[in-house]
Amino acid sequence: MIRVAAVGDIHLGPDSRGLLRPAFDTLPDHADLLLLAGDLTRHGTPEEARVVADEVAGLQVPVVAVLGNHDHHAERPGDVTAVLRDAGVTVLEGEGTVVEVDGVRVGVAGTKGFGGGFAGRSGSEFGEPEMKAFVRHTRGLADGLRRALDELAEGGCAVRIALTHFSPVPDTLVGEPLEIYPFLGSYLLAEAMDDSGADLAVHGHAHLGTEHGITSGGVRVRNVAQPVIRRAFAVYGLPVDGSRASAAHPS
Amino acid sequence: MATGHDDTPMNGPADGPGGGPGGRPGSGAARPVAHTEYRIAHLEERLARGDLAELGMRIEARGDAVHITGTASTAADREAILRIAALELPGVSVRADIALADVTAPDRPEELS
Repeated sequence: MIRVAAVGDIHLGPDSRGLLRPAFDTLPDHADLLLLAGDLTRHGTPEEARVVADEVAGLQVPVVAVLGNHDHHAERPGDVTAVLRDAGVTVLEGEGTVVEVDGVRVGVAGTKGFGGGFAGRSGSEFGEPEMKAFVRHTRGLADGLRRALDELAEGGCAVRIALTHFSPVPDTLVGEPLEIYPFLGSYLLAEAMDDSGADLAVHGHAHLGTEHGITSGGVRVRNVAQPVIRRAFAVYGLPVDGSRASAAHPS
Repeated sequence: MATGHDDTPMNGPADGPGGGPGGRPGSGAARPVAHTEYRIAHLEERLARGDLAELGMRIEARGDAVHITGTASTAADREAILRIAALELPGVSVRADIALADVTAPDRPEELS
């Protein structure tokens, strides 16, 4: 059993320094790794990123993160990423990483993701340049996620996890106003996960949403936005049999 | 406390939240409601753009009051949200149900089959 701790939308700033550290210090008792599902800061400044970095620096479990829309607000995602990496956090965007847990290769593929909506109710690459760019951005990030998951499978990972900020499914948005679903996620992310296969998908972004969901292809989805899980982090136990991770690509 | 029962459709905007300068005579009861909607939208913009960068509150008109629900990171954040709401919605009854984030470790994991 691989124990995966995850939380998103912690929105740390200078006035919330130290808020999560007492709970994070107990992580070795609960989990083998910690996933951070974006919106780690409020405005995406390096100063706020340093608060996040201090919160997770030196933890006894590996920490893997994606950025969220808040982490882009100051338009310095590279600086935010650098601060987090300096603290030992693996920050993913269209790439994967492998964590060894008791000899088991656990792969995490990550992207921020973006909006656009869900199958049958989504935006298209059509019309104004802004609209085309919007959907193209989501498609590009979903393609990066698919490639990263494929590479983890080729790398022999027994367990694969898709980590995003935006949601791949509408299930975990229940509780949010229906009208804003297109701003909360995209089916393109779920399609990438189902194409490549994954044992678990973790996202944040939807504060008023629901924890549990599933993709059309059967990938379990968990919304770990902190207001949803109502804890410093949630923990999911994943069996190590590789059945789901290798079940992709029906011929 | 607002009751939401005293503004029949023919009352007009005189004592409603949108009844200030610019209220159009004979425009009916839709204007106060519309004004409140716009003011809620402005409040949401202000919360998002300000120091809090708060986009996670659900803010809705209910009767002649405005309800704010959601989860704030700290008590200070919750107070700031209510302070900004009072500034943005003067004359409007604001009811808030803002929980504080729980920052404790979970009791148990969810084991996936």
